[in-house]
Parts: sequence; C-alpha cells; structure tokens
Amino acid sequence: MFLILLFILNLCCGQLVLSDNKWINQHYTRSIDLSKGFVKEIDIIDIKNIDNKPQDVYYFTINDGFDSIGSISLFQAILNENSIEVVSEEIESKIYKINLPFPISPNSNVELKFNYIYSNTLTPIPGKISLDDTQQLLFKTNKFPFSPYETNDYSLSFTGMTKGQEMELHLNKTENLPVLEPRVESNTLKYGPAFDLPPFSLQPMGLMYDHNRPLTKANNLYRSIWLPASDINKVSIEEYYELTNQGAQLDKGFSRFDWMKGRYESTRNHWALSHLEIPLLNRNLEEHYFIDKVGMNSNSKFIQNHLLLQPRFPLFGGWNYNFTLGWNEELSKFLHLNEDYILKFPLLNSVRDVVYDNVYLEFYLPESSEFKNFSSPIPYESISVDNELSYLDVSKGHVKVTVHYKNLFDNLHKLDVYLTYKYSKTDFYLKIGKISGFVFIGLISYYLLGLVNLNIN
Amino acid sequence: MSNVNQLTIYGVDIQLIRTLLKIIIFISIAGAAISSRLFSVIRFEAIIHEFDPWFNFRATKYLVTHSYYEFLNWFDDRTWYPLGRVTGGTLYPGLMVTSGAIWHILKNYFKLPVDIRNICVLLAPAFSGLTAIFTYFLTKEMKDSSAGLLAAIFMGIAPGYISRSVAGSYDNEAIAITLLMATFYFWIKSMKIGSVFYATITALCYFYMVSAWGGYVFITNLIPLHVFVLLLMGRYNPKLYTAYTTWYALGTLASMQIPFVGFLPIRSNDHMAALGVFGLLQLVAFGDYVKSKVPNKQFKSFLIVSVVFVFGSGIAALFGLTAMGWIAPWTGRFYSLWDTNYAKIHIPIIASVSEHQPTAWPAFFFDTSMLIWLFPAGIYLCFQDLKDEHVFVIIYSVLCSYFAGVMVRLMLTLTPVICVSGAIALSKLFDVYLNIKDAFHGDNISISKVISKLTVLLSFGFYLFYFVLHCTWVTSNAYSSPSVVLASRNPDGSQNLIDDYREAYYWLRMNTPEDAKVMAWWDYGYQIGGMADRTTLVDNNTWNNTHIATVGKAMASPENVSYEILKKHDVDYVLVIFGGLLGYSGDDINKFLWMVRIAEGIWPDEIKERDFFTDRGEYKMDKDASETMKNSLMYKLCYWRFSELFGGRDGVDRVRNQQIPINAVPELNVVEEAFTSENWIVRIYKVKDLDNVGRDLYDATKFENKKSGKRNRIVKRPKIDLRE
Repeated sequence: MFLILLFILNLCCGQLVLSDNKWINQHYTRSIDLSKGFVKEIDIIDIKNIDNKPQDVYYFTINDGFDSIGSISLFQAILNENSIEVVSEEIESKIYKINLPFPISPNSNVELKFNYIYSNTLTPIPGKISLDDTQQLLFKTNKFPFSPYETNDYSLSFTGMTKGQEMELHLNKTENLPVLEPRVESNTLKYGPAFDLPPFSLQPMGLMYDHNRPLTKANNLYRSIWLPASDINKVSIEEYYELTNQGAQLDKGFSRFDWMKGRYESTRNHWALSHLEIPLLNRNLEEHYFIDKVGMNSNSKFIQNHLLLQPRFPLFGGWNYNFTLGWNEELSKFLHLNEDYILKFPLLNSVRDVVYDNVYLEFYLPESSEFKNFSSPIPYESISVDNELSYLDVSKGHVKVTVHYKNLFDNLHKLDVYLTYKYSKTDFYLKIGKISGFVFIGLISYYLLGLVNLNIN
Repeated sequence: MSNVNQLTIYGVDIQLIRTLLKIIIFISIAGAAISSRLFSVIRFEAIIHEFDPWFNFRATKYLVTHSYYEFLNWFDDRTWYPLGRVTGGTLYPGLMVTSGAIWHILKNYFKLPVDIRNICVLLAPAFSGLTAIFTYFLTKEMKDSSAGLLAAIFMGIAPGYISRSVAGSYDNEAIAITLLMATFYFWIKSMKIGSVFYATITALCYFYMVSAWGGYVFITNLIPLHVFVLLLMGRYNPKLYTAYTTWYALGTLASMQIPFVGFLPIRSNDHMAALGVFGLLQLVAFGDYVKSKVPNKQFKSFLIVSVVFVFGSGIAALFGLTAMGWIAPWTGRFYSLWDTNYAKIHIPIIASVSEHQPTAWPAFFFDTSMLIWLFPAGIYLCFQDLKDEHVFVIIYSVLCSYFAGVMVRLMLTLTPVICVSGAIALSKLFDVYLNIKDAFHGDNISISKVISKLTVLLSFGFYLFYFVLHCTWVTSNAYSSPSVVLASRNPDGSQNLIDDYREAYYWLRMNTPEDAKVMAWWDYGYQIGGMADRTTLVDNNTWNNTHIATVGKAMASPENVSYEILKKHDVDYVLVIFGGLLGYSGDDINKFLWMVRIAEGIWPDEIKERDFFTDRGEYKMDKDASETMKNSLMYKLCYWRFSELFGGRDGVDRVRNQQIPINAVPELNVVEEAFTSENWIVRIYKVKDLDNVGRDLYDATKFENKKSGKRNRIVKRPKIDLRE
C-alpha cells in the first residue's frame, strides 16, 4: 500500500538566496525521537567554511522539503563545543539564518547542534481501528538532509519506537541519490552513512511504526495566574484545556462491553486517552479542583507524586474533552519583591505527553498595579494588557496580561517566564479604603432611610 | 418621669433585650434553615438537581446573556424538534428574573461577579430563610410571637418543605412558598385592619407569586373562599370589602402582565371563583347598605330573592360562557385533583409522573414528624378562638389536607399550615405549662402540679429534640441527593460517585455535531438541553402529547417502524437509561409501560399495552418476554450486548431480578451503539444513515456481520510451533 500525494515543491526562491556554496556540511547526523506524540529532531552538523574569507552566517533549513511537517514548536541552535545558544532568526518559513557568535576563518570547522520539535505531523494509519488493534502512526520525512549546502557524510537514526516499517512515498525526489538501507542497532533504526550529497537532497520516506499511546493535543489552553493583592502567600492558578486526541478513530461506535473486556482503562499502553498524568516534581497543589462544563469531575487522584486526571470518558481519535483544573500554590516560590515585583513562573503545567496549539498565558495582577515588563525564553505571538473586573474590584479591575504562544509541547514546562509589575502599599490601602468607604456609605444610607417616616395614617 | 411598664435588667430596657433576642433567634432560624439545606452541596457539589431545575437554569443563563425582552420573546428551537417551543411565553419568569436580578446586583453594585450557577443553586436555601420569617409574621397574627417563633423554626426545618428547597433544587417552588407565606401574611394583615396599603402589598406579592409558579391558582381560590366563608358566617365588614376588592383588582390586573397567564384570570374556570366572590362582595356591600336603610323584615325578603337570583344567574352565566367558549374549561391537572382516577384514564402523561401520584400515609409522618399530630390540635384551638384569621387557617388546612392526599407534590403546600397550626398548639401548651408562677402560688408548693408540669414539658422537650433529629435525618438521607449524581458506598465505607448521566451528557456535548438531534424519553429532555446542549424531541414541558406519544411509539415499535419515525424526525442519536447492570430502578424499562400507554392513546391500533405482557400477564424481560417486547426498540437498546457481560451465562437484570438469556441476544439493524456510560446507565445509539448502495438496513447489517465473521475466522489462525 503506497501513499500517493500530490504537491507542488516551491523552493525556487529559497534556493536562489541560499545556495551560494560558502559552507560544506562535513558531518550531518540526524536523530529523530518518536517516543511521544510529537517529533523531536536533533541535527548535529559539522560545518566547514570553504569560502576564502571568514564568515559568520549559516543558513539552516528544516529537513522537510515536501510540506510534511505540520508546525514547528521550538527551534534552538547551539554551538556544540561550549553549549552556547546561537542567535537564529526565521527568515522564511522553515529557513533559519544562524548568526554565529564569531566568524569562522576559511577552512575551519565548527559543530552546530539544532534541536527542534514538530507537531501535527504524525497521522494514524489506518485512520480507523478497533479497540483491540494497535495504533500505527505514519511519520513522513525527508530521508536525506535538506540543506542548502553540500553534505559529505550523512546518517539518520530513529529512536523511541518498538516496531516500524519503512514505506516508500512516490513523490518528487532528487535523482541519483544513493540507496540507504535501514539497520537496527540497540533499539535504534539507523540509516547511512551516505556520502557526498548535493544541496537540497530530497527523498520522501514514510515510517510506519507502532505507537500505542494517545496523541494528546490541547487545541487551546488558557492558563490564568491570579496574583493576590494582599500579603497572603497564595497564588491561584486555573487552567482551561480544550483537549483532543489526534490518534486513530474508532472504526465503529464505542462499545463499553469491549472496553471493559479488554481492561484498557487500567493499562497505560492503549491508544485511547483515559488518563492525564501530571508529574508534580517538587510541587504541592493545594485545594485542587477538576471541573468541566457540567460540574465536578470526581476522578482525580494523587498517586506517587503524580496527579492523575481521568476524563469522564476515554478519548479516542477525534474526541474532545474540555475541562478546568485549578489549584493554589505558595506564592513565595514565584514572586520576588525588588523595587518592583518580579514573578518567575513556569510557562506550562507539567502534563505529560501533550502538544499545545494555542496557549494563552493570563496573568491577573492586583487591581491598579502597573505592568512593567514581560520576558520569555521562547518567542510568543502577541501580548496584550487589559482589565478584567473580578471580586471586589472597585475601580478598573485586575490588570490582565495575556501572552499568546503557539505550538508548544509538554517539556516546555521547564521554562520560566518573567513578569515584572509595580504595586505599591498605597494602592493596596486605597483599595481597602474604597471598599470600606462603600460599606460605610451603604450602612449610613440604610440608617438615614430608616429615619424617613413612611407612615400612612 | 419614669415609666412604670418599663422593666429593666441591669439597666437595660427589657423590650430592647426582647428585640435583641428575637433578632438572634431569627438569625439562628435562618441559619438552621439554610445550613440544613446544604447537605448536597457539601456531599456532592454545587450542582443543579433533578430535571425541571435544569430547564430553569438554562433559561436563567439565557436571561443573563440576553436582554429581558429577548427572554420574553425567546423561541427555543433546540427543544421539541421540529416544532420548537415558545419558551418566553410558556414559562413563569419569576424565578429566573429573581436570580438574574440578584446576579446583576451582586455584579454591578457589590462588585461580586458570582457565577450564575452558584446563585441558582443557593437561591432556594436563601429563600427558605425568608419563608421562616414570613411564617413567623403569619403565625403571630394568629396567636402571638412565641407561636410565631415556633412556627418559624418548624418551617425552617420541616422536611416537607425542604424536599423542594434544598440547595440545587432550583425550581419554581423554591421561591413560591416564600411568596405564598408573604401573600397570606399580608392578606391577613390587610383583612384585619382593612388597609389599602397592605392589600396593595398583598397584590404585589400575589403578582410575584403569579410570575413564579403555576400554583398561584391556589391563592386565587383560597382568598376568595376565605372571604366567601366569612360572608356565610355573616362576618361582612367594610374592612373585608376594602382588602378584598383592592387585592382582587390590583392582583388580577398585575397577574395579566405575565405572558403565560395573559387573559386566563378572566377566561379560565380556575379563576372564576375569585371573580364571583368579587361580584358577591359588591352585592353584599350593597345589601349591607340597604340593610342599614330599610327595616329588618323587608330586608329578609329582599335578601332571599336577591340571593336566589344572583346565584342562579351566576351559575347560568358560568355554564353559558363556558359552553360558548368564552371561559376555558378546567384543566386536566385540576380534574385529577378531584378524581384521582381521572388522570390514569384520560391523561396518562400526568399520571406517569411520580409526584402526581396519591400520597402514601407514612409520607405525612415522614415529612412533618410530630407536627402531623399537633396539627389537628392547632386547628381545634383555632376553632376555639375562631376570629376571621383563624377561619383562614382552617380553610387552608382542610383544602390542603385533601390536596396533599391526592398528589404527593402538594405536601409542599400543606407543610406551611401544618407548621403554623402545630406551632399554635405547642405554644398554647407551653403557655399553660411553662407558667411556673401558679405552681408557687400560695403558701405550699403543689408537688403534683410541679410533677405534671415537668412531665409535660420534658416530654415535649424530647419531642422537639426528636423533631430536629428526624428532620435532619430525613433531609440528609432522603432529600439531599442531586439525582444527577448517585452515591454509593464502597466496601471500605468510602463514598463512590456514580456519575453516568453527566458522563454521557458530556460525551454528547463534546463529541456530536452541535445540531445533533437526540431522542430520549421526555424525562431527560431538560437535562439533555441543559448539560448536553443538544436538540431534543420532547422534554419535561409536556405541552404536546402527540409528540411525546410519537417518541413512545418509536421506542415501543419494532425497528423498521421506529426507523421511519426516527428518520422523519431527523434523529441522530437515541438515548436510553438502563439500570439493569447496577440495579438503578428509575430506568427506562420501568418507565416503558408509560411510553406504551401514551403511544396507545394516539395509535390504539398499532401499540397495545397487552402485547407487552406475557401470556400470564407478567411484565417480563427474560426468556418469557413477549415477542412484541423483544422486538421493541427499547428492549433492544437496553439489552444490546448486555448478556455478554456475564461470561457465557445468562445476564442478570438487577432491577427486575430477571435472567436475560444469552442465546437470544437482540439484534440491532437500524441503529448502532455510539456510547455507553461506565455503569451502563446511559446508552446512546447512533441512527444509521440510509444505506449508500440502497440496501435495506437489515440486509446491510447482515452483510456486515458476515464480513466481520469472516475476519474473525482469519484471526483464528492455526498455532504455529516455534521454530528454534
């Protein structure tokens, strides 16, 4: 069974700009991790300057070439010898301009490491399976490096799967490429090495492999962080998820009988999403609640420092589940008062094996505080500041800072974002004064109304 | 200048202390009333209960997200598909408007943006506190403030009222009982002092009541009856005239402003008594005037002639207007009040509701505990006094005792009067026995007197204590279950929540197209609308009997007949409730006979109740089940693949204690299973589309089964020995 896809390869523009042959890739090693619901690729490239003058710009193209990659989540370029992150900018979709920290003299080498993650790439094959089948995913990729430069020595490896099968995709490809035969070494599927490849080598390949885990995706995540105005050492976090499973769909209706018979609920290795795992690491979620649009979901529990959330029903491919998770944490772990308040907060919650399409990070600063600055280790789409009225907000309401991110994945919970804001004691007492003033006016007017004689005789 | 009456304790005026104590008592009563209604919130969560409240909740959400006029003009195309419902014109908006107003006030004036759901959940307990206070005032008018306080506490915790006002039972009754008490209190007050002001307040309360609950008809009839009886007793006075005419004129005009009520107050028979008494009162006032002007003897003959004439012409007019169609005849629910068999014969849909069944005797004790035997004593004491207001209590109690016997849900209107008269009796008793002055009267203390007093007081103290225990126990065990979530106990005693309803409804909400039509029995219509947010065919607003019968017919017919109905109504999903696995008795198989009966009412040729019983007349699901039963869609949907759960043996239906044979598994051709909840309580089936190669769905299913059979054979490969 072969997949035949039609597409138009439109790279003329990119090739014109990039192929100026000033570099050569001496060694190009790609390793691709397929253990999760998204794809993690690490490319280590040893580049050599073959120009006659020093240069410090290298162009990197994502190994795609036939629009197989859905969306790129995180792109990182690192100098391999001293792990310095290199400044990169995306000059066009999937083409990055790497500005090396120092110029490389002619005939010198430097080793670069590129990390990137892509989501919305894997498709279940077949798309509809029955409960007791094993889910298979098709990963489409370019078998060769898609670099604007020539490559001397190239190898490719896949990890994170137990059983796989290569499929040839009959799509446009570069002619006269060497034949790469797969081999298995210590749970890794390896190709190569191949030698002397031309720029923009392209040979689409499909890898069909067993992946009996759900492909969890949050279409939208609204992560709101409520910062208190008073000295109380609590921060409330509420997250609203719109969850879906991108994996295989059921071939017919959901049969509870088959589900019970197979005891799939108690196993982790099934492609239906029946549990969400949240490793807590050194965190303590106080007063957590797990609700959805019809009320409380009582199926959440703490097991071995993990919070397990069980949706009301198992999610098969294409099924959705929206829910809200909220809890309190100690504020002192996140907030520091310098001249202004500095908040250091994890970008994401630590839900395991999930990708996010849109993440809206919402900070609710105390009323009449002043938002100063926001900094993030990864780029975001947009940031906006507005007000939202909440409990006992007597003037404009909480200052709400919304940061919109796109295409994130679970491991980014290790990253922290920083937010600075200014909130003075005077603002605080002013608010309290206002509230008590209103209460006072209310009571006084009640008293005054009592003095009015409404007696009818 | 020292006032002789002004007693002081430690220099504090005793009146002040009394007021202070009273306020503290009120706060405690309200606290007790509210907190005993919170069992369900604490045990489960702040959730809307049962069925009707889900509609009220949905309507409230509509109100707070739209303008008031949009709400009144709300045409709901998501229910009664394809007919729709003129929701704005067929509901009592009082409840929604109340919680909407509270929501707006809290949000805009108090800066408390409380979730509308929480307001809806806690509205009933909050109003129950007010009810207790109005009961105090009403009883105070009957006897004195100590009786009032007793009545207030009784009202606060009596299970008969709690059953309809726990947190989450967001129903019309939640505020209606408060308004009932308020209207009665102001009526008594205005009647006593003949005040236009109080009569106007009565009319306003009445208007609020009309806007909130269909049971306002009770007031519409009770107050005229009170006046009528007073007239018969010869107790006419100008005060009565002032109070009644003011109330009637203003109240009727006001009540006509509610779209659902409209011109009913002048056209429906339910309201004619009030109009008649209004007319009668004019005549009596006129007669009173004549009486004061002419001698006694002439007046008598005048009276007899005019009474006969008026009575005759009144009856004639009533019959005439009804016959001409100017006045609507009485409604079925009204008839079933007088003839308990009426509904069973004529309107099965009313009879099928459990709360319209006659009350069982133990329910009276269950719902009111010791008050049920204090109640007659209180009424007796009212006879002893027999002032105008006591007549009111007597009439109220007689009428409501009857009604409560006819319909379980009318226990609710009986409870207030039980509380009032129970309190009158008890406070009278306490007046006598708590008076310790006369025990110490004279030189020697009478031992026997002290002992008798102590015995009575201690035993009633015990009764009161027991009353509180009973009420709390009943509230906690019987009335605090949301019925959407079921609770059971694990073997280790911990609580296990059975949340199948919400599981399935949420599945519908998340995983079906937004315009999917769901067919289910009408009981679940409101819940599907509220929780699953999907279009339903029928719901708890049972306005169209034929439509309900259609659904009943679809459930009771064989697949091919049902399929035609399903397709004609664009049904995408069919939902049934099945309790057989868990032993949940309120399931669709137990309601099935009502579906059959209602369908039979419309299609007596096609659906026959008799066919669903075995030859011996038993209602069976096991191997003896009749063919009609086994072929009905409902049977198939409920037992589809059920027996397979039992590992080759016959399945056991734990509700009906019957064996479902493994070898006669129902076959489904026109629908396919889409979802079954964790404990199998809710089962959802997807209606198959017409076959795309034009086959009969039966053939198509047969073909599919054959195909899957072939696949099974492939799976059964011979075992290959391991080759080393």
